[in-house]
Amino acid sequence: MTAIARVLAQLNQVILGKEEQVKLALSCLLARGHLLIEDLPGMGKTTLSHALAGTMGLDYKRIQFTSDLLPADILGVSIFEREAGSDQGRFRFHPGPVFSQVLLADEINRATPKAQSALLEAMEEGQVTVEGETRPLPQPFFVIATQNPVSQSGTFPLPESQLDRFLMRIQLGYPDERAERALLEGKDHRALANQVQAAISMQELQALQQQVNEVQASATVLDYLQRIIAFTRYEGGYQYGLSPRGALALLRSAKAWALVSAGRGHLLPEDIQAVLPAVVDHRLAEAAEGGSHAVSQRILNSVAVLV
Amino acid sequence: MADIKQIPRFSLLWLLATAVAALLPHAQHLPLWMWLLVLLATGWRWLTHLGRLPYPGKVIKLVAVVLASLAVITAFERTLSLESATAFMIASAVLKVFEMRYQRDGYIVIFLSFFVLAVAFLFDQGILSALYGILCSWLLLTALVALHRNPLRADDVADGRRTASLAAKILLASIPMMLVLYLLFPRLAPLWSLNLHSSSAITGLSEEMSPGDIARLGQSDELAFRVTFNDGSLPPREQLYWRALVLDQYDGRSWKPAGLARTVKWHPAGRMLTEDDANIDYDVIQEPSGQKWLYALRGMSAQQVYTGVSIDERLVSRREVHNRTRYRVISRPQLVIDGDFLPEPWRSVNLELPAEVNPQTRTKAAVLRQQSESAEAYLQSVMESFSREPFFYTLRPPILGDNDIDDFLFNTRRGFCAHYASAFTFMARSAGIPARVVVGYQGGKWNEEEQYLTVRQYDAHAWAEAWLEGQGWVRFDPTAMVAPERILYGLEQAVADEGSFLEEQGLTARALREIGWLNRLSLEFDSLNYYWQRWVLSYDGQRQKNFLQTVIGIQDYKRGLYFLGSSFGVFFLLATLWLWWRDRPQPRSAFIRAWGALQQRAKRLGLEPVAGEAPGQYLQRLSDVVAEECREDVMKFAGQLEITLYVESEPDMAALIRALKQLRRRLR
Repeated sequence: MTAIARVLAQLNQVILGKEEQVKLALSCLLARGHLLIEDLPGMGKTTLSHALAGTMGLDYKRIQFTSDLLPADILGVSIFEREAGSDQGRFRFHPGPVFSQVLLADEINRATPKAQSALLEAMEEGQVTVEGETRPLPQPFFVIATQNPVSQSGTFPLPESQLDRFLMRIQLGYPDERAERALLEGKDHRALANQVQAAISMQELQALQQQVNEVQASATVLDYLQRIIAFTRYEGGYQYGLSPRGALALLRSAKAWALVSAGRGHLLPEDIQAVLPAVVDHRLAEAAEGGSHAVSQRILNSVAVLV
Repeated sequence: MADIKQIPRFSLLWLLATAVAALLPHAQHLPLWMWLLVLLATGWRWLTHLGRLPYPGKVIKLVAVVLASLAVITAFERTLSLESATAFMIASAVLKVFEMRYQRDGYIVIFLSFFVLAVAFLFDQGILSALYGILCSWLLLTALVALHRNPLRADDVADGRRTASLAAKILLASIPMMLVLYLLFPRLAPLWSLNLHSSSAITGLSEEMSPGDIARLGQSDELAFRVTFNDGSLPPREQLYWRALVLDQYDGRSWKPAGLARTVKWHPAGRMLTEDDANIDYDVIQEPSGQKWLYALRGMSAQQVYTGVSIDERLVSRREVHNRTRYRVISRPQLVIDGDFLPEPWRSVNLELPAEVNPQTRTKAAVLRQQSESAEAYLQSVMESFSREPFFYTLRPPILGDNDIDDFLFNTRRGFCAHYASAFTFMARSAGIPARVVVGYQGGKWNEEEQYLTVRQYDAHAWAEAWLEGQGWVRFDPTAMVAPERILYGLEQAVADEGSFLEEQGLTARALREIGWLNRLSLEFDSLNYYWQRWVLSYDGQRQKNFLQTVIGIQDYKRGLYFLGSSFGVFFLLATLWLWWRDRPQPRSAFIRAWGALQQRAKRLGLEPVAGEAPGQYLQRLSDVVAEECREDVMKFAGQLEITLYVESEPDMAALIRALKQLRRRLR
């Protein structure tokens, strides 16, 4: 059983009936991207993120974002400490939860923009600057964030720049009948998620990430990718097209998907199509008002695979 | 708010600039305060653009509208004329600039500016105006294009040069349509003739000749008309007496046409001249005069509908000439007119003199008539008396007393053509010879290179005609006796010593005439304008009909309209074809063609291709519908396709196409 198969098997035991989303989440981590899980409360977002972190065997911390959360609560703070038995003392930095390999940012859109943006530098550059001092974060560093749909009350929508930093945004949706019955009959899955054991080692994880990079993309498939990018920029009627970073994100995600879903060493158009909704929907806003969830469907229907 | 678009910042500059540019041709006839309004409106709008001033509020706008309307009403003294209507329209257009805020306001400003530009052609249609109009259309199109630029789209950069060149392309592309419309669109005659220049007086002859009128014309170098002779050469200058008016009633002060002279024989009825070498065949392009008379040489025959020859030997038009008109005439200067018999009441009208006026002249006429053998000899001696006695030709005659002709003949002896013609006619009538004064133009400036004659207002002239039995009406020009250079070289030479030529135009204007190259330049420009008038502006309904008949071979208007319609159709068809050709689908590769053929074949098996489907998925579905024995082939091909297209760095497309064709045959 390959490392990927082991991880998937374990995750599917915790999250029932969501094989597709589990594979996307794993692809995202293997592509070294941050993951945003968006759905209504109680759909298993937190369970999935816990299970992911646990299964990967990574050191993880969790922040529950609230509206009174301050940047220091995420990044850490310097505290004056008196040395034992003397009047002397000095400031010592107490690292915040961001100093971990996996950061679970629960309900990220409940926090104020100030707190949200504290994560910005960390997510993009793998380092944080506190009180004028730049400190590196552990490697690897993932942010798995969950959020409620923006229309819910008490939420601060993430700005475009921050949304763009998440490689994928996935939705879980209701489980199907069979999975729901299994859920009702079975054990407490949230507890299960907290108990999961690491399914792969750090070395295996790094090897897999390396393999993602080595997935081949032929000229034909890159043509297809570029046609998609061009469609979003010039034809689709979106306010903004995909940025070059968005294009790279799409390619990396598709490569990871090729590896996770089929263990393939080359990229197929199907891989791009599979990750397209997760990668593109939160980056493109329709020119006309209306939800952004059908954005990728229009791309899939309009861009020819072979020309 | 999403559907109310703001004006893109970049296009505002274009909008303001072009709105002002479209106003410029009206500079001449707009009152000065209007420019203050233009400055205020554009200045305010510009400061709004810079963020220094807010958009004008409702109250300010209301005040501006009321003030501008009042100003227009006051400035034009509540008269409704072309100028006042134009000023009102321009004031509204300027106020629209003032309140312009959204994109739709931008459209209105541009369309208004197009209209303002078109209205300018009611005032002037010269070639410079036309060129400026084209330039302005281009600017307005540029503003329109700029208004459509989408500031949100990254590839739609706000680049003035690109915008302008796009507008130029649009303008160039419309040239064929412009030509077709110019040549073929029905030239409808106006339903009524409107004097557009009601409030600006036209310089020219008037129906009444009193001393000083022609001297006033002598101060104007405005164009009266131009002539081309159809055999190319200029007739002798002594024949170039362009008749406009015949004055046969004298009231002791001034000469007037008799009310009886309205009888006109309209073309094609009337005098027909036989073919003769002495005939002069010519085209006249006449500037608007606001009068019904046209200009022609004596012995004329009207050659054009709506023109005719009056009983007192003048060419007249059915309508007042408010637009520049072109007409053809044939004249035979030697023609004998009313040779044997002068009918009543013409005889008595042309003999009538007010009683007890100019007694000295009457006495002199009686004495002279007794000394002469015949009427003709008498008139000759009157003519000679002008050259024998010390008469002077001057544009600055002294003021004459109550018996003006007496005063002139025996006292001052200084005057110009009108004085001499008037005195001669009086002398003739006093001796019982029917005579009348003819007013018109004499001579003109011959453009040797372009072969046409230009007649200006200072060529205005008056001469006399007397009726002699057997010879009919004979021309006598006493001015030629006093100042022969007036007839041979023109007014400028005749008054060269006096310096009174165009003296009211000021020193600089006259000094400029002295500069040789400037004169040549103005001559060149004059001939350019002449061509513009001859070939472009004078294209009227008649000429259009000729064009349709001779060039295209269409006889009636209905077919002309069909032709117009079909040329529109052809134009749009060509444009569509070109657009299609430009965006035609690119030729597809051999693989795609073979792939398409496979999909066609698979349709027979009930497998419809899905938009945006990857080939792997398609082949998967195909393998589900094909017969059992083919399934393996499909899967084998799917593997080959995946390897060729998505794995190999240098794919063997030929082999793939072969396999594809093979698979298609297997599906049979």
